[in-house]
Amino acid sequence: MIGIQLLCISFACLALFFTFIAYKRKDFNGKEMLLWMMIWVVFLGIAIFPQAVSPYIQNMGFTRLMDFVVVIAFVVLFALLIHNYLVIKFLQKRIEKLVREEALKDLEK
Amino acid sequence: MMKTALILPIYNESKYIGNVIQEAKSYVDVVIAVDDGSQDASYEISKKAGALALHHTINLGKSAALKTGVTAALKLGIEIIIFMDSDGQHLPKDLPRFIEPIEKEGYDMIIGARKGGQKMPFLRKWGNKMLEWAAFFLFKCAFNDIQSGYRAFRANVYPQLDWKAESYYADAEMTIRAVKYHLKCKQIFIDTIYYDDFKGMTVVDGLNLLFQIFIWRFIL
Repeated sequence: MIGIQLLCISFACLALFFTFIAYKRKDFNGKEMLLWMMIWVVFLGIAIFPQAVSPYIQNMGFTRLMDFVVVIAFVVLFALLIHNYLVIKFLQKRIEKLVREEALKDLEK
Repeated sequence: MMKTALILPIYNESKYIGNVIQEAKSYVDVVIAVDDGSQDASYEISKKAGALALHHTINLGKSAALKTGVTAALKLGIEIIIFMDSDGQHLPKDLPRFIEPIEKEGYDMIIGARKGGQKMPFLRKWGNKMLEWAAFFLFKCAFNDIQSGYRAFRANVYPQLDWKAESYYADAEMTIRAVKYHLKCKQIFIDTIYYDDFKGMTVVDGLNLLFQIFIWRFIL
């Protein structure tokens, strides 16, 4: 087992632990916990048995597993970026609406 | 006589707001002061000065403050809405010049263009020129001061002007929307007094607005 595998395994275990903690603290509901658990278990599986996914990766035109992981990491990062941007915009709009409604209550007094 | 309201968006303007409201009261039916989460006594001073004072518990920016003011004005049945900056740079004695063309000549919107003489800070003057050229080439908008904060409009054209832009960009979006929807607009020249060079739009805001004008060309 090479260093990078050990690093990925440790990271996946830590992520599984934090997912479980988030569920226990009720930050995640059952569905969210299951989704994140699945993601980290798959990640853990690939980290332990990288050769298991090699044939699929080669079919997609990647020569090394590492190249595939880097591409996926970028896709995930950009997806998260867009998601976070949209959530912030949505919250901004809700806060603005609330504050404006509160201000207009003075008018009714 | 049409019912008029002056809307003043306020953010930490305790130094000037009292005088601005006192002076403006005699020219309009209602002065609506929207305090946008000021940390000073602007809200209390506005109330004391006789304005209908509304208060945002947090700072949302000029655009949101103007929207709150317009919502209040519409609820009061106002027919002419006037926006003016609350830092004393605009002169309340000019208010009748904004109201009369709407009442008597049937204009939908009056834009107060700053004269841009010696009194205007250098960067602001040339920044304004650049924005003006961009608006002209992209929208055939021939106004000299597209983002002037001193303007008046007929309340029933608000649905066409209803801006989406945040912060200081609302004024420019209103001007461009007025051109796009062929509203009957007029520009009048006004005097401005700059008390504080560090307030209002910065160079970065100006560049952002320039970019925004290009975007509006495709989305408005």
